[in-house]
Amino acid sequence: MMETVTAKQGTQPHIHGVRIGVMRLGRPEGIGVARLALRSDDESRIELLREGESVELFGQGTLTLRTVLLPGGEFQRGAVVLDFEGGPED
Amino acid sequence: MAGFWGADTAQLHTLAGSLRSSGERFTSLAQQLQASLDNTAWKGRDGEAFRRSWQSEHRQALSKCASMLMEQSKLLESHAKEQERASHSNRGTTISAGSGKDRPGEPTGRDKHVPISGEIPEGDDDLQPDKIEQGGLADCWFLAGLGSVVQDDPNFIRDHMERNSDGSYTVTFYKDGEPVEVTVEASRIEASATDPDGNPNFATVYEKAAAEFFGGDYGDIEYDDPQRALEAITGKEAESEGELSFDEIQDRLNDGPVVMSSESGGDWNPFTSNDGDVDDDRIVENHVYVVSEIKDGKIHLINPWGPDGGTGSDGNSKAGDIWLTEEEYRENFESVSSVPSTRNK
Repeated sequence: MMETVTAKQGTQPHIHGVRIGVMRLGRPEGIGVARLALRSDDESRIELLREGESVELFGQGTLTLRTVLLPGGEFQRGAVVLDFEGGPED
Repeated sequence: MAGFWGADTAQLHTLAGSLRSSGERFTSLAQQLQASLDNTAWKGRDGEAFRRSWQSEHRQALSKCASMLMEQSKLLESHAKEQERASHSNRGTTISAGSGKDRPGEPTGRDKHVPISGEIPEGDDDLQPDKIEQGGLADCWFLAGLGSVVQDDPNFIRDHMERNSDGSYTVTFYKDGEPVEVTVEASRIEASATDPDGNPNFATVYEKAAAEFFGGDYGDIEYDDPQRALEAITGKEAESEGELSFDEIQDRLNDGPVVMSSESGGDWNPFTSNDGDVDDDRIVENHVYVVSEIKDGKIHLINPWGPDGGTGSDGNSKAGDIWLTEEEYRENFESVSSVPSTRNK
């Protein structure tokens, strides 16, 4: 199962009970990167992801940073587009 | 179609959502193409001409398409909301608009509302700043303001959030110091603030009422000034100042609620050392925190994202609440907003 979420900088959407906080984003040297705070009830992790990179989400599935949207228009402080794939492990 | 006037508002919301997501896709496409162009080695006159043409024509055309779709989405949302209000009125469920009362409503701009079952808890343990967990809305400025007020005077929040006999809630805000009652249905969107367990709480109700109060759309409470939140919630004149000393911040805390805004770090490059930049392992850029206390030479800040669970599995990195020395605070925060306590009548 694939879900796609667009999250603005400073927000904290929830995916399968995991809080995905968008701490910071940018495109240094042409590479889209984002600092994310990943927090479940039991664990927390701060991750730095480049576009296309994935991270395991506390046994819930895999989170991929698809795109970094720089500030402008609707996203005045930028946003990230995240793909989540999977579901809870049996 | 005889006997039917207006529109199916659910379909209007769906259409507005399609327009909005299409606009977002255009924005995303422009960003992706820009990145591809940035990463393409093409030096010389032809390359420069292409880049100029891209910036001045093609990229602007994509941005214009995105803006038009977003504007049409907002227009449809406003039509839907207008019709929903008219329908409420026709069914006789509207509270009188007189005497400063607002009509019950559902703010627009987001996905479908789902009902809140049961009553919102108002015990001493429930009305705490660390019981606020921000969701998918960019409204830290409001939630941090709310958290600072509930920390200072939980009874004020109790007194200003009333459950009505029909299950709806009325929240009293202030405009130019005068009370304005805003009534909202007992329902929430997926992106709503909740308690740390994901259950609706006072922040859910206050946030929804704020969307009504500040314009009627959830977009109306994204990215704003915490001073505005403190004044709307308390009715008292708030103040925003630049960097202060710990002694000055303690003075503000003695007088009432205080929140603090982190810096924008400017051009960010996490792959190079950059002293003086925002401490992005702990602190959210452009974010507003509740100031909890100053103790043993450190300041305690509560993130409206809610508390951390368990232990940081990557070491000690935590985003929920932080303790900073005065030097760390000065490096990472740019303004302090405060308001006189509501305990002082």
